[in-house]
Amino acid sequence: MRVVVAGDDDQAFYLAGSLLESDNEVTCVCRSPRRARVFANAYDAQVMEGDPTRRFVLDDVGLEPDDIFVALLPSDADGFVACLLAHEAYGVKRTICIVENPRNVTLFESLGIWRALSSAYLLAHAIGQASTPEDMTAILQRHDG
Amino acid sequence: MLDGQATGPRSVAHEGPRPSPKGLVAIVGCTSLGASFATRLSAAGRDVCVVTDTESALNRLDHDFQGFTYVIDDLSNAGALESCGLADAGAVFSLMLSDNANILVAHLARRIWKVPVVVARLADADKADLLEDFGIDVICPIELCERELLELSGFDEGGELA
Repeated sequence: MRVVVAGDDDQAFYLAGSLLESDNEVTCVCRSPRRARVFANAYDAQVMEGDPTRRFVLDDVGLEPDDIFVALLPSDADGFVACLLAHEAYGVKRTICIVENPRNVTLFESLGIWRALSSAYLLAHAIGQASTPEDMTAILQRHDG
Repeated sequence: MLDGQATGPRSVAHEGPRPSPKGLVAIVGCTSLGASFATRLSAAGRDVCVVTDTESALNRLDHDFQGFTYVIDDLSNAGALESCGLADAGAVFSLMLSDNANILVAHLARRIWKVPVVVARLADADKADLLEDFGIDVICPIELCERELLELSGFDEGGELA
């Protein structure tokens, strides 16, 4: 099993680094040639250059059904299409889409994306689980602080 | 599943005539094609709305255009599109220049809002299966133009480019 990280921003860079640190096989797909060089210089991982919403690019990645596919792309539409392509064309079951618009979390999951994540959505749910201000600060408390 | 086979030029193709869609026709993207098609449908007496993220693009509509126009910030925002009437439309034509935005709007329209007729424009015909497998029709202007150019040029007669 490997994780394919589609995206080349700082979030994608951080995620790829964390996954490699915990000994996962990682393939990065970067749209920008400049960012692809940054990734390749920093990490001992397979780094591909190209648009992860295009079929010939994902053909080169050689996606397998057991891979985990994570899309961190600048527009929610791009993330949706990358995940849809991974699922429909290569049978990838675990597609994860990081979205900007929190409303797309439920919409994308009902459209067949395995998991959609938004930071605002996660925060709202974390706060929503707190019934008192003390609970809320406990949930948001850093473990090291 | 996609099969990766080479396919012919994409256009909306059906077995037999399709009944004319009822109700509102929503056109997403006031591109040259979107504006021209909206103007034509409006002139034919259909209820038409045009949704764009660029106010100046509405200048592409004919002066006689009778339909509604909406300017929204993000053409991939489901809530904003719903407020333009897409969820209750009889047909949605997603004619933006971005393939991925058209694919998302088409999936929302067909699969979430159950719009009976949904057509999306693509530049990259490799993505057609991502729509057709879900009952969404595809129009690929580049392939249609290429086919016409081959015919006009005579190149295809000797099988040179076919």
